[in-house]
Amino acid sequence: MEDMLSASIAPLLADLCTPVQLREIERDHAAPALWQALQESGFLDALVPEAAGGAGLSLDALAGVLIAFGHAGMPLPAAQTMLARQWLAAFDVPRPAGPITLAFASGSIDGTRSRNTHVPYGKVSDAILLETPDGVYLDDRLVKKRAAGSPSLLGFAALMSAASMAGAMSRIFEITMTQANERQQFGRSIGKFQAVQHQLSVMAEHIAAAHMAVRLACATPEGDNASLNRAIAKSRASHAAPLIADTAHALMGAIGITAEFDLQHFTRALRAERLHYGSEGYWDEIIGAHVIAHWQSITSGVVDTARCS
Amino acid sequence: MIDHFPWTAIPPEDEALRAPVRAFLQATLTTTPPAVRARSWMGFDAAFSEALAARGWLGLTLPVAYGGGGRSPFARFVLVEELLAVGAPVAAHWIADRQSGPLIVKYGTEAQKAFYLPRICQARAFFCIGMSEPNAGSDLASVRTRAVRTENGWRLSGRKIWTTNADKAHYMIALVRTSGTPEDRHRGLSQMIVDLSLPGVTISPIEDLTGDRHFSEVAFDDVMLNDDALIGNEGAGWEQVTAELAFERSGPERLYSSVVLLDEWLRTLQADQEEFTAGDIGTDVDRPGSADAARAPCAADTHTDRASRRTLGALVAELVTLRAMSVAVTGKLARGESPIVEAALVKDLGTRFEQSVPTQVGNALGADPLMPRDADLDATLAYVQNIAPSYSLRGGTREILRGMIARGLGLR
Repeated sequence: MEDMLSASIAPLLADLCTPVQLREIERDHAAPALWQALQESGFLDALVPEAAGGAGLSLDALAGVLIAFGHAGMPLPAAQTMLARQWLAAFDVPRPAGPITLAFASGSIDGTRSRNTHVPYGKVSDAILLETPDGVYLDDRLVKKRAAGSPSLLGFAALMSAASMAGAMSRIFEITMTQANERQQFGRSIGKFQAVQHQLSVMAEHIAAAHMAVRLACATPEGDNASLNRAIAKSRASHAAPLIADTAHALMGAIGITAEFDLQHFTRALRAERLHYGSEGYWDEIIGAHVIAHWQSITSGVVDTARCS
Repeated sequence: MIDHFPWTAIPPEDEALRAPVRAFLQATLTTTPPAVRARSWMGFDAAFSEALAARGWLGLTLPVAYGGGGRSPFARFVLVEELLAVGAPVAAHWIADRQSGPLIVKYGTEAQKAFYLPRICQARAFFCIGMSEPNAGSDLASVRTRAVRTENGWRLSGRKIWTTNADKAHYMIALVRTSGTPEDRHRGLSQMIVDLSLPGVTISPIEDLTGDRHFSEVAFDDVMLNDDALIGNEGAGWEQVTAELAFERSGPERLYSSVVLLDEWLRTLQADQEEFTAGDIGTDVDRPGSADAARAPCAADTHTDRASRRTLGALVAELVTLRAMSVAVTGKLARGESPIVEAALVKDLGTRFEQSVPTQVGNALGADPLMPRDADLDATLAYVQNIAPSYSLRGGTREILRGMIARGLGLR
């Protein structure tokens, strides 16, 4: 927790996202204490402009918080609500108080819901902000019409997931490192074995990369490169997710696949989030198409992704 | 460790170096085929190095007092990135510029600095690295080349191997034993600057599997060195080598070794794309005012096209991320830190990426056996796919690097 914003939300997450509480929330599909605390913290309106009653913070400032959500195993769509409230504020639509999740569907809606739309956090949400090609709906109500060329929330939703995944990866790594240093076999901790060390080193590499990609995307000023970097963040995190989850389970042994042990909460979340708002396959294709259409050369394009002005 | 890569921007004054370097390269390298440029920094061209020197682009980070540019590591990062992007032939000055010069700045006497540094900056002194031996590779502390004290200096005997550019370099900085026995390992090692034109030095280039002779075996048979051949302190060789390797491992060259191949593939994909351009097929990333991110497949798209886009996209996502990590490491160097573990992490991840490029490009080209092949792309792929194993061998194998990272994680 290196920045002030992450530090300020840390106690809330520590108090209200304990392993016991996470299990209860998953069982009951409800977390009133957690939601109330998030509401009172002001973080749910962090992206909403000050003029509309929010904190008017940037994604760059909030990157650590978004990652912290994933590290804590946030069971509610806090980040999605932040995005939804920002979007609703932009169109002067009253913002619901409860959890809002984001969903995307390809079919048109004429007052009827699309079938079998995947809705992350659907069971713990009070409202769904649904984007289709022809409009954005808050539950059944059309809030904003869309046409070809309208801006989409999908890339932002993907970035929220990428940040959550980076946090979950860190948590998974901490659990695995503890095991490596404490579990004794053959008269020494298993972390003394080269095969184990190398697997942990590779995990660390990919986790560092996922964090970097998220930070880069959050720090890029809005524009073409920001869109591209959001795609890159989700691609990079999603590519890494199976390796992180698989390696952690390989090193934890049988206890790691029990319900009682905490690792599973985070590896299940990581695997699920890999598919939220586009897996690596989806975003890779978009990145590749963009590169083919717009880049003069590989290096000049790569350099441009990090331009601050 | 995971939080050790802060988002870092290149300062504007260093970023400003990019445009003139790019313009110079565009004007200069017009006729070098991509398969040759794919040799990356192993391409040797003394005249090219001299041209860079004339523009003040050699020894950018060396002190101004000795002919250097006195610039920050960020400036060198920008310069090196542009040189590697096009596969400029920088081998002649590369090692001196990257590590031998900084080593002499850090550990050299006034006389050594005054002699070698200006020559390095003028492309008049080329260096190579004498570390590995036939029986000492990853286990560098077991080197057996020996320098015995004489009245006026040292008598050097032994052999070094895999020495890149030894046949074209003027000097070698060699890790040698000056006291004790190999069983003493890290203790008793020193570094010597060896003039390769001295009697008793025999250099034998070794042909590699692509037909190039980029590295050599170097034998020393009672080579007589003066006192001033010793660089730094006698017996401090191991720490000095560790510091030198941090310079070696921290640049962007651990990302761009196969970029010429990736550029060639991109060029052919762009040529193919032109045949299918027909209005907006929704391939742009989501951006304000543009097409929906949830695109429908276009009739002109073949399975191969979509697969190629996905493969390219995955590679670019990796490279963009790696490059940001490499800039973060450079930021630490600029702040006077010693990011040894971070550099090892970026090198291991980076070389795996570099090696995946020929594998992925090869698969994409082989996906349609009836498709006509581009000669330049084929030749570049043929070279890169065969030399790619060397990316994770030079400068520390992946097993060694992963051990270093593990130590950095607190596992040892």
